[in-house]
Amino acid sequence: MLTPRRVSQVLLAAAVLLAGLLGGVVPGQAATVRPAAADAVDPANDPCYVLIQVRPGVFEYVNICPDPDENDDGGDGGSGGGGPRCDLTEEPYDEFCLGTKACRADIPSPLPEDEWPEHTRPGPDHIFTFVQCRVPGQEEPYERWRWIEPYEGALPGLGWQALGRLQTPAFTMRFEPAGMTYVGADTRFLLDGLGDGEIIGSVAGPLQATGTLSHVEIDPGDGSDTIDCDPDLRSRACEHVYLEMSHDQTAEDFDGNPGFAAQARLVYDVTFTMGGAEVNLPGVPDSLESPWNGTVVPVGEIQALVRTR
Amino acid sequence: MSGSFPRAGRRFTVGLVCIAVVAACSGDDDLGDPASPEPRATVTDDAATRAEDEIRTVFEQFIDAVVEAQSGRSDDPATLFEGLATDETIEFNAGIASRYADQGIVRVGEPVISDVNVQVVDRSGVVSACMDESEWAPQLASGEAIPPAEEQLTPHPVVYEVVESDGAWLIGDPIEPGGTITC
Repeated sequence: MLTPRRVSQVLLAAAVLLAGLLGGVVPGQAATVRPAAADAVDPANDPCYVLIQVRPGVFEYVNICPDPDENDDGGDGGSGGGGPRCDLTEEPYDEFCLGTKACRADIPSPLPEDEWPEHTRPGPDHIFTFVQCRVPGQEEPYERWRWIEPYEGALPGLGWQALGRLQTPAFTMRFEPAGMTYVGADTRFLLDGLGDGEIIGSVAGPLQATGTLSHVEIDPGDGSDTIDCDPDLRSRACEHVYLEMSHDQTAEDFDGNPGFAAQARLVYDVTFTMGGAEVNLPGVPDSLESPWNGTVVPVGEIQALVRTR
Repeated sequence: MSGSFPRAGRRFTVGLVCIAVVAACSGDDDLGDPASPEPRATVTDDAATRAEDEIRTVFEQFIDAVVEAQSGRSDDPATLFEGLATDETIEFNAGIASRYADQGIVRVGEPVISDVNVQVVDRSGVVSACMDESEWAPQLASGEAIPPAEEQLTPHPVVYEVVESDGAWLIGDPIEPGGTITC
C-alpha cells in the first residue's frame, strides 16, 4: 500500500541512486582524454584546453591532449615498448618521438614553472615546455606548448636548472681577536648563518639538486693564498697568521681603522636525485660556490719590551 | 553612535574636495605663466605629445592585428603586424596564430582595452593598458565553444616596450607589469 511515508522513502531512494550515479560519472569525465574527433566531445567539459600566460600579459589557449598517434606512449618521449616509432635522424628534430612525430623541446622550459597548468600535469616527472616536431609527410613543423616527460638526453639541461635553484645562505664573517688582530698572532675566522650545512633546491622537472657544505674558502686579504677550512667553524675556526700590519690598507672597518679586506665563500658538493635515486649528469657541475662575503681585518703590532737581568 | 557614519562620510567628502582643489591649484602651477612661454619647452612638449599620440595609435592597431590574427580569418597573420611591431613580436604573434590554426582554435569578439598610458624617453618607451578578455571568446573552428579559462574573465595589465625605428614607433616585447598597474 502506497502511504505518503512509503512514497517519500521511494523518492529518497531514487534521489540517492541518482546522486550516486552522477557522482560516479562526473570525475570520470574530468579524467577523460579528448577523443580524436573534436566534434565527439562536449566542449563545456573538455579538459584539453588550458589558458597559459606565454609572455607577461599575453595568454594563449593550448590543447594539451596528446594526438591520436601518440596513444601508445602517452607522449613520454618514445619510452614505450617496441622502440621509437619516428625517424630521429634529422636535426634538430632528433631528440624524442611523440608518436610518429620526431621532436625537440626547449629544455629547460622557457615558461616559468608557476605558469604551468599544474592541474593538468600527467605526472611528477613531466615538464611543460615548447615542443617542435617534424610530422611525416607534412612540410610545416608541429609546434605546441605541452607536457612532456624529459628524455634521457635532456637531463643535463634540467640539471643546470636544478643547480640554479640552489640558494646558498646569506652568511656573515667575523674574526677573533675581535676588533683588531696582531702581527704574528693566530687570527680565527668565524662564519655565522650557515644553517645545518645542507641546501635543497626546488624540483626542476624530475630532478632535484641538494648541496652539502664541503668546505669554506677564506681569502685573508693580505695577498697570501686562499685557505680551505673545515665547514664546522664553530668548533674549528679557520686560522691565519698575518705577517704585516694593515696601516697602509685602503679598506677600513666601521671605526675607520685600515685593515685587510678578508672574505669567505661557501663551497657545496652537489648531488642530483630523480625519484629519490641519485643520478650522474655529465657536464653539469657537481659543486657550487656561494658569493664572496667579507669583513675588514685591522692588523696591528705588539711592541715587546725586552729587559736584561 | 548611529550618527557617526554620516558625519564621517561628510568629513571624507570634504577631504576629497580639499584634495581636488589642492590638486587643481598645483596643476595650474605646473602649467607655468602663460605670459612667458619658453619656445624650446613647447617644441619638446609638442614632440612628446605627438610621439605619445603615435604610440597610442600604433598600440590600438597592434591590438586590432592581434585580434584579427587569432580570429582565423587571415591566411598570413604576420603581414597584419607589418609596420606595427618589431620582428620578434611579429614572429611571436604569428606563432600563436599558426598554433591556433593547427589546433582548430579561433577567438571571436575582441578584448576591451582601457587606461592606456604611454611613457616616452628619447627613442624608446612603454605603453601600458588594462585588457579585459572576457568578451574575446575561444572557440573551435567548427563553432563549438571552449569554456573560457577563469583567468580570462578578470581584466589584467599589459605592458609593452615601444621602440622607434626609421621614424615609426613599433610595439616590442611584453614586459612584466610588476604590480604597479592595477586593473
